[in-house]
Amino acid sequence: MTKASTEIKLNRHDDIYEKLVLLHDGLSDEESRILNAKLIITLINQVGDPDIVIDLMDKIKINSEESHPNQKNDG
Amino acid sequence: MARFADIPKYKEKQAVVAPEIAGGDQGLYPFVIVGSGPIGLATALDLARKGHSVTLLTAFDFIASGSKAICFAKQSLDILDRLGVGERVLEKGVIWNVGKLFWKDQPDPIYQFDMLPVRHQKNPGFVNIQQYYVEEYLIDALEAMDNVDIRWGNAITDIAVHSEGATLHVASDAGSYQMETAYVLACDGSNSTIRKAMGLSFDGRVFEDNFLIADIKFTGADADQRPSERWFWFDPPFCPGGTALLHKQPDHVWRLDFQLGPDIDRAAVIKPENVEPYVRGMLGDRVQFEQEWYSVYSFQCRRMDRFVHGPVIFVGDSAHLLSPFGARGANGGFADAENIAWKLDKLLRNEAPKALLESYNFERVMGADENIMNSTRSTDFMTPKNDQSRAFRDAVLALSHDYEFARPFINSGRLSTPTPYRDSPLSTSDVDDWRDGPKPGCPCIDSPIMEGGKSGWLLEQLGDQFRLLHFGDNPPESALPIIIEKSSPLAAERYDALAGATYLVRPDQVVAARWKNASAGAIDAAYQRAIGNG
Repeated sequence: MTKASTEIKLNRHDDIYEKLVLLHDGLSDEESRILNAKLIITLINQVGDPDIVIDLMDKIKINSEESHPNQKNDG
Repeated sequence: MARFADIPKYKEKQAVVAPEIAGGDQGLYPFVIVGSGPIGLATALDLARKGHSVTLLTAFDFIASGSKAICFAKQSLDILDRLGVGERVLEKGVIWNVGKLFWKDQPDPIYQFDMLPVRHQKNPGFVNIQQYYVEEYLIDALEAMDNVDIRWGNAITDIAVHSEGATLHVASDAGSYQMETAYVLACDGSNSTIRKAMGLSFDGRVFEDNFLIADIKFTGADADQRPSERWFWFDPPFCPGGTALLHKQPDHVWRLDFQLGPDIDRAAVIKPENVEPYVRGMLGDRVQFEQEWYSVYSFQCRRMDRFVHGPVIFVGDSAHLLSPFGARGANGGFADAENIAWKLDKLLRNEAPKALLESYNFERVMGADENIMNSTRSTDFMTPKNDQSRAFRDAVLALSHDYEFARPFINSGRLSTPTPYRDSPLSTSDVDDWRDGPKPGCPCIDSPIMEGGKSGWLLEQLGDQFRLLHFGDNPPESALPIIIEKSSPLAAERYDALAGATYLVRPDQVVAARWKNASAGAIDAAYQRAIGNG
C-alpha cells in the first residue's frame, strides 16, 4: 500500500492560507461546513490514489485523537 | 517641553534657536527634513554624506525611549552600514536563531525552528536592538558633520505648498518663524502634522485588539543564562484566547507582548500590579525582574494613496502604518529613506529630471503594499477573525506537532526582506538568459571578496553611487565607475557570472540592468533609464 508523503510539497503557503480563509468570508457555519466538505471531496479526487487518501485519513485521525486532548473550537 | 511630558526620554537634547529668530529670513532651502525618528535621521545622514547641507526640524528636544522598534532586518543593517553606523548597531544588538512555538497549556513547544544564518554575507538576517540606540548612533554621526543643522524643539505647525516649493510655519520656545524650501521630506511619523495640514487621506484597516507590551529587565543571578530565543504562544493559559511573545533585547531587557482583546481598561492594564501576573504566568513565579516600560497598543494598517505630493515627499510611518508583526515599520522606512535620498541627491545636482521622484512613489508604494499584505496575513493568523479562521489555525497548529508539511502555514510574523521592484520604470529588462543572480529591480547579494590582498565584502565595495559591477576579463567601455570582481568564485556564482557578466547597480544597491556581454550603448541607455530619462 502506498504511504502518503508528509514532506512539504507546497510553496506560497501564505497565499493559499489567505485564500482559504477568504473563501469562508460571509458564510454561515452551515455554509462553511458544506464548503469544507466540497473542498475535501475535490482534493481527494485530485490526490487520485485511494491508498494515499486512506493513509492520510488514518494519520489525521491519530493526530486528532492523541496529541491534543484539549483541542477544541473555543471561538 | 512640557507638552511631551508623557513621552519617556532616553536622552535630552538642547532646544535650538533657529537662525531665522536671530537673523531673519534665510532664503530658500534646497530641502528640509521633518522628524527625528530613525527614518528622518537616516535620510538626513544619507544626504549629508552625499555632500548636501541638511536642515532637520523636530518638535522633540530629546531622544524618546519606551517600547518602539526592536527588530532590524538585514536590509536595514546593510543601509546603516553604508551610513557608517552599521557596525555600532551590530556590536550592541543581539541575534536570536532559535524560535519556539507553544500552544495552549502544553509545556513543550509544538514546533521549534532554527533561523538559518545568512551565510557568507557581512550582516546577519536581523538583530534586536532598542530603537533609541539606533537613533543615538545616527545622531552621533550627524553631529560629527559640519553640514548638518538639527533643530531640536522646532515644530512644524503648518505648511503651504506653492509653485516654487513650500512654506513651512515653525514654532519654537524662542519664537515662530517661516522657512521657504524647494522640497520637504516628511518623516514626521504616523500622526504626521504635514499630512494632516495638507488634508491628505490615510486610509486602511483598524484592528480592535489591544496588546500589552511589558519591556522588563531580568535582575536575578541567572539573567545572563536565559537563552536568546524567540518564544511565541498561541492561546496560552496566562493569556487565554490570545497570543504572547517573548523577545530579547540588549542590556538584559526582554520584550513581552500579550494580546488582551478588544475591550480593556487601558490605564489599569499597565499598572505594575496588573502586569506582574502576566509576566509570572509566562516566565514562572521565581523570575526576578524590574519594569523597564509598560504600554498598551492597538494597531492599524494604513497607507497614503501617493507618497509624493508636488514638493512634499512622505517617508516612513507618515506614508504607511503597519501592524508590528514581522517588523516591517522601521525596516520599510529605512528602505524608503535610502530610495529617496539618492534620487533627491541626483535631482539637486541637476543630474536627473524631476520625473525621478515619481519612481520613489512607484517603488515604495510597492514596498508598502507588500509589507501591509504580510503584516495583515500574520495578524489574521494570530487573531482569527471568525470561528472558521480559528478552526483552520488550530488545525495547522495541531498538524504541525506531528507533520512537517503543516509548519510553513504557521504565521507568527514573516521577517522583513527587501521588496523586489518588479516592472520599475528605472529597470531595464533582461535580454540574456539568466539562471540565477539578482534580477533588475532586486537588491544586490553580498559575498566575501578579496580587495587589495585583504578580505572584504562585495556590498562595501559597491558603495552608495551608481556603479558597474563587472565579473571576469574584458570590462566594457563606460564613463561610469566600474568595479572588476575576479577574486571570489562565490560572488561570481551568486551573480550567475562564472562566464562573465556586467551589472549596473543603483546607489541603493538595487540592480538596474545586467548583461552577459555589455555594450557601451546598452549601458548608457540603461543608466539614462535608471535616472528617470526612460
